[in-house]
Amino acid sequence: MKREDASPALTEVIDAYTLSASFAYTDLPEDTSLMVLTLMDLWVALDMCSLYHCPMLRDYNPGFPPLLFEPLLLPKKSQMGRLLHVEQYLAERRKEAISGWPSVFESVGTKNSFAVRFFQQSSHHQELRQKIEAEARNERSLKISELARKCQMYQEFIKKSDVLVCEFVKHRLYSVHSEFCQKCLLKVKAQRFRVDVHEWPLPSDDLEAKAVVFELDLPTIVSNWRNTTYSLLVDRLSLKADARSSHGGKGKKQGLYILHKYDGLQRFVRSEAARLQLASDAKPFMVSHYRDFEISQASESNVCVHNGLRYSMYDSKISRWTNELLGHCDLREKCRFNLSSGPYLGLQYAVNSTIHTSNEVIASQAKCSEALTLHEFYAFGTLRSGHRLQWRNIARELSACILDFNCYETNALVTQAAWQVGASSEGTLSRESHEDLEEEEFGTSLLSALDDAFGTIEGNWQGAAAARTFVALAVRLLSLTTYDNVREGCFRLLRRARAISLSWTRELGRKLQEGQNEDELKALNTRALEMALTCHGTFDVDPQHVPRLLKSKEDVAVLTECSIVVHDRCPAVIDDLPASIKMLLRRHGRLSSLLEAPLRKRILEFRGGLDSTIRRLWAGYVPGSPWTALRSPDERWLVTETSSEEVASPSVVHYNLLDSSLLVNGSPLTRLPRSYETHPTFRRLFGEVM
Amino acid sequence: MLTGILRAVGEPLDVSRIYKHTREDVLWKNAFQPWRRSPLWLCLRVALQTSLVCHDDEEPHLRYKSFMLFFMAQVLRDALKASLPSDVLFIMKAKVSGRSLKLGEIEATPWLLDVETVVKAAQQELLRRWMSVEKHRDPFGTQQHWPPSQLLFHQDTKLTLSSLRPYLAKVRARSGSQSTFHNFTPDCGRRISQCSSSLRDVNLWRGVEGSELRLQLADLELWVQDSLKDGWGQT
Repeated sequence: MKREDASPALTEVIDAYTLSASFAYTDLPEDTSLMVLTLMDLWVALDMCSLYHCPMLRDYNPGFPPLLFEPLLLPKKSQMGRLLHVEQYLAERRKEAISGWPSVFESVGTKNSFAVRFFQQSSHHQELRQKIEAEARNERSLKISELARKCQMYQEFIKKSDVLVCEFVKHRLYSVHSEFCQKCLLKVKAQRFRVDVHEWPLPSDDLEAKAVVFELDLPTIVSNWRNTTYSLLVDRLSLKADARSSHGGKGKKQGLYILHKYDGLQRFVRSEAARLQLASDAKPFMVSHYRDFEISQASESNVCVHNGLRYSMYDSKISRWTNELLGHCDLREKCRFNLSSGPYLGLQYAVNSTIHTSNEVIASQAKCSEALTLHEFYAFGTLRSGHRLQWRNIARELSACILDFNCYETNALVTQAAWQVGASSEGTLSRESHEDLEEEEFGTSLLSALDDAFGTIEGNWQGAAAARTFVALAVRLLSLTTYDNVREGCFRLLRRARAISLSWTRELGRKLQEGQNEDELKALNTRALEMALTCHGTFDVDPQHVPRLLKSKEDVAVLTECSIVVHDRCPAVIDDLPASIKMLLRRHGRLSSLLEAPLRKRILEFRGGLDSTIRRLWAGYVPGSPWTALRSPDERWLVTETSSEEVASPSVVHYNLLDSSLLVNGSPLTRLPRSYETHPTFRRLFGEVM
Repeated sequence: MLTGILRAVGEPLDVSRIYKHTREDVLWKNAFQPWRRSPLWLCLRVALQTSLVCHDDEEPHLRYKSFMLFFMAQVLRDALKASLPSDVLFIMKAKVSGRSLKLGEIEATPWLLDVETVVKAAQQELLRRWMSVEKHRDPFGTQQHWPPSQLLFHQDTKLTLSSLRPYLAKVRARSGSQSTFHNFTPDCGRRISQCSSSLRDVNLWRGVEGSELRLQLADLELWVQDSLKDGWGQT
């Protein structure tokens, strides 16, 4: 596709993506971060394309604050690379922009504003202005002759009236003024002559007039760029635009006059009204009470008036002036894990940022909840204090055993510290916060600390949350380290984590078969789901490392087994699950889609892994014809036919790589079809029990 | 106040004293006037008891107690004649028999038999009244609108499941289950092809939600990550 066509297509993609993603990603900070990164990548493409067509935009700063992207949570190295690219691009743009020149989204009629400068180099717009002015002059001379004609008629009436005398009628004793007195009737008629004002269509200020003409025929490229960039800045990257707009009064503003609806210029509107429009809160003369005059008071100077409107840029979607909405970019709130209520509630600040000092934490010890020890409180509070110290603190806490790694809050804290990109340092990919991970020595000591930490939780499946934290740390180290021996250590550690969580999953599976009590079964089921999700999460590494972890048929067997357990244990309606498990399910879904292609490749290469998983579930399974993938768009389904040697008729087995459903002859093997389970009658009769 | 003055100026006189529980209390709930024990009756009883007391006896108040029992038996007899309400009779009877029991332990006098007859008569009367209540089919008229004679027990307890038998018959007539083989044809939405280099093919399809929507978004994100830059190099 040529660049000329790309701008509308990109705009469309950005709009559609924003619409769906902002709705689907509300509650997961890492998804929101990825959305921002994706949008910025798309925006850079759009910006390059727009600059190609309209180099003048280069002189204007697009308005993304330099530190805006620091709160993003980006677990993968490639994502940090993309962010670096975006930031470098924006820095370049800022450098090229001429400082002091007004923003494209706010200023209307100043010397350096974009609209004025565009007008000055566009002969097309200059012609349009000449045409408007010629027509206005034409109208004005018509108005003057109308005024002269009406004046003359007025004079005639007055003259006629002057020569007459008032008529009276006799009324028995005295005479009264007649209702039909000719003199007075003529006078009234004369006074009834009125003349409408003629308002000059363009503002009298030359610069403002240029801007208005430019807005009348806004080039599509500029319009797309301006609207997309603006909605990114205001809707996506700002703090709750809705909340701020509400106090200004939703809905239509009283007495607001939008350029595209102004009668004087209606016939010259060439471009469609978009989100950003010029509007004025000063009235045009045509709707004010000066709109017409009695002839007696009319003169050329007060009938031919200048333009009364004073334009500013207006956001028609939120119904506010753009200068009120811009400049509030802030991603911090959207990109953080929120601590649920409990003893850690007062420590949310420790998760949010890295700027609190350890002294502040000590000073606030009085606020420590009774459920925490002071040491734990201090360790939790200071883990992130100082962004360069975070990783050192994490490594220390792993061996210090003060923090309770088994709870969700610690997981949130450590994950936030490990994933948040933080302040950038001159062009390095791992930035200031994560520089430590590039050191070999730190990498090996972190690995050994993680290894020990795994040793302490290995024995009991209650340590699943801790295991997830450690896995996240190991994955992050694997992603950012540059040393092969550290990398190998990470692979070993992840395999160990996988083995531990798999054994937990199997243990809980056995417990589930023995269990009796319904409540107990439900709790165990959730736990088994959590274990399987933990095991599945050990595969969540950067794409280039996936082949190392998904190498043999045993790897395939583990991956498919825990995916199938997730599929089987996940209730049909997940609303009742704890928030942390819902979060894991979301991560699981994303990881499944990332692993789809490598897993398919492996299974098609050697079938043993998937076959052994299926045999664990279905003793009668005899592998037959080789697995094949269905054709696009159904390529997520793998299909095989069982061997017909031992049984009369072979069965057809389908396996879904994305959600791990396993179908035998088209029916689910291990659980009822989802459509049954979500049916109200089924839920009423059997509840959650299967 | 008088007692207070007397206690101050005088001194206690050594006389024979009697003690009585006055049980002075007032009941006053939802009533026109408060209820209390009659002071006149107390006064009379004290006068009687102090007059009839006989210090030589082993039991100094025997005479007073005998008189009270005799008197109350008389009152009960008159009450029976006047056929007072059953509850009043019952209470009076209980009081009289209580006193007669206590007195009988001390001294069995012949006139106690007379008291016993009165108590027995009261008992008979109460029993008679209760019998008449029991005999009456509907003494308070609460069941006059419920005609038990018209009930049809047999008919009313017969339940039918009119559609069950035809259904069961159908089950028996059902032919062997149909083939268990269902051909499975997946119906998946379109995906963004990751090798596509054209923006035209990168699109989201409206009207999907949940995991399918997330899958589309993930596909788009992956495409932006891998393919956007290739087509958009730094030229």
